[in-house]
Amino acid sequence: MDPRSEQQIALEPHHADAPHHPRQFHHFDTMEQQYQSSSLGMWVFLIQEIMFFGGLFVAYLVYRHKYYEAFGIASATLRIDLGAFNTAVLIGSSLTMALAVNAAQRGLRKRLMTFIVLTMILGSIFLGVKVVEYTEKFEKREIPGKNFCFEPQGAACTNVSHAPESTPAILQRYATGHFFEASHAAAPHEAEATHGSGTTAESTHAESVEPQYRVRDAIGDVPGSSERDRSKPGAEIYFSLYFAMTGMHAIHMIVGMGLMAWLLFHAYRGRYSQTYFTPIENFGLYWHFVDIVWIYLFPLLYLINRHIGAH
Amino acid sequence: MSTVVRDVAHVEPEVMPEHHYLNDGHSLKSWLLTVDHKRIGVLYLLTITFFFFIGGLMATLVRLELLTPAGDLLQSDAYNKAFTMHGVMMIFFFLVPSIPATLGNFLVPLMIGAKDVAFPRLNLMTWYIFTTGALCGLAAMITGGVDTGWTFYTPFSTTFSNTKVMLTAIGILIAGFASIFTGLNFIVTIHKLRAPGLTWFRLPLFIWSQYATSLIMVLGTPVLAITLILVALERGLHIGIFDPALGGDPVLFQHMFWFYSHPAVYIMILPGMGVISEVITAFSHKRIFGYKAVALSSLAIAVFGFLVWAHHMFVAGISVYSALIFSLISYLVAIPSAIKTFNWSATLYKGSVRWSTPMLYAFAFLGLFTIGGLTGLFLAALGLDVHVTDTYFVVAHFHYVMVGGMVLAYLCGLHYWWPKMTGRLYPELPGKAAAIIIFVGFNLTFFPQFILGYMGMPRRYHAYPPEFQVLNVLSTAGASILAIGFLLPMIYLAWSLKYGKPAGPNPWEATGLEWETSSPPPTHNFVGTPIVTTEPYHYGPKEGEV
Repeated sequence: MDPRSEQQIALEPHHADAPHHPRQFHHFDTMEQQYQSSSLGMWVFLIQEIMFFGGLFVAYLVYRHKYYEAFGIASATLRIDLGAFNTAVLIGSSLTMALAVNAAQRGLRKRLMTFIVLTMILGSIFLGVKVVEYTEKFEKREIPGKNFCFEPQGAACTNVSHAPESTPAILQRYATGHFFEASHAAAPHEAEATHGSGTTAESTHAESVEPQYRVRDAIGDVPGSSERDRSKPGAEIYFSLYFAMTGMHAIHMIVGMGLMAWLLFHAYRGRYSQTYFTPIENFGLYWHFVDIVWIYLFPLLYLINRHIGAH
Repeated sequence: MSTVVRDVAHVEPEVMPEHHYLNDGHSLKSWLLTVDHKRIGVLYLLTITFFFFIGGLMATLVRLELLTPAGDLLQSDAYNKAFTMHGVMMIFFFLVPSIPATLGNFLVPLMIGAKDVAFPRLNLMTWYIFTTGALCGLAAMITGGVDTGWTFYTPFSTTFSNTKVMLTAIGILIAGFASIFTGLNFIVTIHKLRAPGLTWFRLPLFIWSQYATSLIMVLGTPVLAITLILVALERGLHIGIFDPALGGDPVLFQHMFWFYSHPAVYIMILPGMGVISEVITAFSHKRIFGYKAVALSSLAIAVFGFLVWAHHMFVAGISVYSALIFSLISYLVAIPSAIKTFNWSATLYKGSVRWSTPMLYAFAFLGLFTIGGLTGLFLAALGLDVHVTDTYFVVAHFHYVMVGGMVLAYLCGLHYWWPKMTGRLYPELPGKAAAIIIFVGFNLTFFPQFILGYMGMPRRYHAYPPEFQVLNVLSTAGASILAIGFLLPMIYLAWSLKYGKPAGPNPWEATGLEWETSSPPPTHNFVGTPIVTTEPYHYGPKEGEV
């Protein structure tokens, strides 16, 4: 049953005349040893990934505690239907990935390729929906930063003096490296480019950026302002984390798509067989990990306002 | 350690083996595209030596400025950059990779009887990743420097600093992934590639320490990575995470930073402890005292190391109760550290001690690490810490552990395994002279800083009141001696590459699989697979004596 067991018997350590599997590296004694090493390596990598996302989850935990209400209110602006749809899509992609691994273990090349393609399609759907969601946030200016706007429906944002930019204009500006309005005072990264004088720039620079923050902070402090106004700093943190967490997740998805293209190419060339399917299996582990991250992100980011709204 | 019987009484002068990993291809390509762990170790050796001297140059600027109370050589801005770049270069591009990436890469497969690490191509890629990261750091330094201190505290780093924070952070981020992949490679190698018969409790203690280090690298470094990404996002896109003006919490940054950076000091010291365990037994010609205790204390340090980070933040506004707990756990780290120190001392007892260069470094390590470790307890004490936080006391403590401990252990290991790496012996007399010069220079540099700190001289200032000058002059004088001590090995080790006497497979009559193969080892390390039947360090009384 286990396709590796026959390899184990066939390849005794260090018999010079023992037949080597074409995929076996010279420093391994057996295919079994090579398989186990690759598998352990992947698990160690995933543990590393858990710690990586763990940092983001800790930040989330701390700020959700600090801005409990604001997180709920900001969370309500997300489209739960799209999030739920994406969750289903991603779990579906995990299924097709598991089937791909199964096909590889059984040496079914065409079936393997079919399921890799299906997984890629589902991954693309997920990313496509994410683009729709991000675009909506751009249009509503619920993007943390200088242009952040979080006002009741229809009210104008007071922290920026001019009309909201259109999405293409914002994208155009970001694409050209102008993350902030040209009319604003020099931001740190722009100052960095012109740096060199090396005098007491620290204090003078602090003065030049301070007013921008103060304007926005003051909004939250206006007496009698709406609940939404008061929750503004917390909401901005919420959106910072929303974009950081879903962005990191999306980057992992994009990397995964690239890896799948590579696996598909090699599957097409007939590289994987019943005796060698480690890359498919390890990629399967990675893909499931990315899926699991989303399964945590979805309730934390989309569903948290459910019970807050209830009382 | 293996069944191979070794002829210890050699009369014939040793000759270099005909084929070894160093003459298996001479082209630049054969080095830059090598997947041989030994060659990659040598590549790392050259790279980190370069960054050590860059970091040393920055330290020189700092010490020269502090020669006089007034800010005359450097203005405050330039001084801030000098100490920041000293810290960044030394910590991220020298100390963290130092022993794991050079000696570890070279020795881990040799010591466990494997042909290579588990993932040789990843190993090569790791060197490229590391070099890219380090070059980013260097580029940041050349194009303007960075002035936040190596700790990148927010919101100064994300909002107010006008220096190359972004490029430096990216460099550290990239080099961090090299650290993760090195750790991953070692963990898998040690689990899966051990020679037949080499059980966990037959492993050399250097391997145990590398294993513990790798665990920290894999578990800690990703947290630094995400922290730096968040800093970069806040700085570049004004996404608020840590800046209080944007609703963020700067203390969260400190928690996340120290969650990596405290375990990182164990990344830096644990491999050094592994080297000392090897050298003390070899040059006492005696079994290590308490093998299991030394082995498991490495793991204990790795575990405790993850639970003490907030002792860097006693004055940052964390609650008294959490400070109390962190103080207590910080004390606990002293236990496994003391177990090691006592066991090394007990190993010396009634051993046939030889005063060779590596052993001099090991003795220096014992003394200096003890001082560094015990002053760490002062700092873990809540009340005293408030008094000496951000003073030269902390600087001295840190350098006693990092330079007196780690750098000396690194030099110790480099001398001990130099015959294995190059096939040639270094000259003993300049070796001993350099060890003594470094010891004297080091103490003269950093001991006065304990006193300065206790008297209240704050760190990270380019000017100071005149009453501190005498001790600062002593410190700078010591630093010049130390610099000579560090340059000497560069010269005679390079000299020995050509003129050193061929070492033979086992010049120290040490146990361990790495001494069973020729020096330098052949490309595939061993002829046939070694089979291990005994415990490590099976030095009989007088048995192996010439």
